Amino acid sequence: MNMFASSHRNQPWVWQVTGLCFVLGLLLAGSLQTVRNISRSGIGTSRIGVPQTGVPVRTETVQKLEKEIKDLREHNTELENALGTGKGQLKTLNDELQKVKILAGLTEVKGPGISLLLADSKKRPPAMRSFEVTIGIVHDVDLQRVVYELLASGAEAIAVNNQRVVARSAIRCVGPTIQVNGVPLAPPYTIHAIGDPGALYGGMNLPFGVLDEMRRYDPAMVKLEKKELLVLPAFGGSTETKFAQVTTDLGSAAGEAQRR
Amino acid sequence: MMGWLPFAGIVAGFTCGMVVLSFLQVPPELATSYAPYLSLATLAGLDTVFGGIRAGIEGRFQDDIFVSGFVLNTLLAAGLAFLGDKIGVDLFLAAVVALGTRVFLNLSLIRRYYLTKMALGRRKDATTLSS
Repeated sequence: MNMFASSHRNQPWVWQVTGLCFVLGLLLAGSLQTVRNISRSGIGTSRIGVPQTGVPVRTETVQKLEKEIKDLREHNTELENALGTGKGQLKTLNDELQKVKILAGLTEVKGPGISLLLADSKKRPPAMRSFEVTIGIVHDVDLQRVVYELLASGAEAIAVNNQRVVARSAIRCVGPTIQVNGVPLAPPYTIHAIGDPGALYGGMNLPFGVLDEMRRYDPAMVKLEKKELLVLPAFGGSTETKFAQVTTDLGSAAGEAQRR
Repeated sequence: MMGWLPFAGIVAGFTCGMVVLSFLQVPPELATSYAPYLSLATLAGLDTVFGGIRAGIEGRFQDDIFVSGFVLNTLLAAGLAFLGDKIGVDLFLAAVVALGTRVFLNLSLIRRYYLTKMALGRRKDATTLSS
């Protein structure tokens, strides 16, 4: 037992270990306090958990705020209508305003149209060739082409997964989701369009049209229906403009732009 | 026998830390960002303490190795965690696994030492009784 020969009487190492144990105690207390702090504030301790616990709270807030925007805009319309129920100029002005709001997508609208469901294909690509892997997936480009084709077919209002497409809407791919109006949407994508159902249906079914490629790959990706009545939500995003200003005097503004 | 001293150290450090940190109100956003580093430092400390006890009972204790081991292990673990954060790979797991393994190994050696000692003591008792 030579290995354990050191005497237990005179142990300088015990003091050093004690010193480090003190530090260890400090660290333990620090860890404990930190974790307690974090759990008290409602953020998860695990790295993966952080966004997962944070998101529902924010989603709730966002939904509440969106509801508030919607309510306020409806209230606004009501007030405008109340103002415009009189006669003459006010009424004319208000009618004009309501038309513009429909055009801008700031009011809820209803009417006949089509409903189009685009889902990712369950079929696996035949070979793992990289350019084929992306075929069975609905991309932002597909949504863009569908929306433009609908507009070309005379759609008066379009919504993707209840996100109203307006003049300033962007449809783009962010990771596994597609964002419309900056709101991430997950597949399947339901596109509602109000317009002449026949014309919209025809536009979607054009030979070599927007849905052709998807249908050829997997017919289950596309489901197109005519609808008697659709209700499309109002645009819920910001309508503020930071840069664009209205030019009151057309002639002088053009001259100014030319001078610059 | 001064075997209780390290435990006293842990208790003293723990109380000290709790008292001090209850006065320091750390914002939780900050806390989430440094929590993994703190737990890694704790693990490195635990590893060094067990390593020190083992070296002590084996009679191979050297204070410079002890202290430098603690500092460098902590820095390396924190560095790995930081790098892992930057490149998106959970590199701190490497430190956790390595340090954890060593803690268990050292603990088993310490346990073996005391068990052997107890067995030897019992045998000695037996011989003194019989003689």
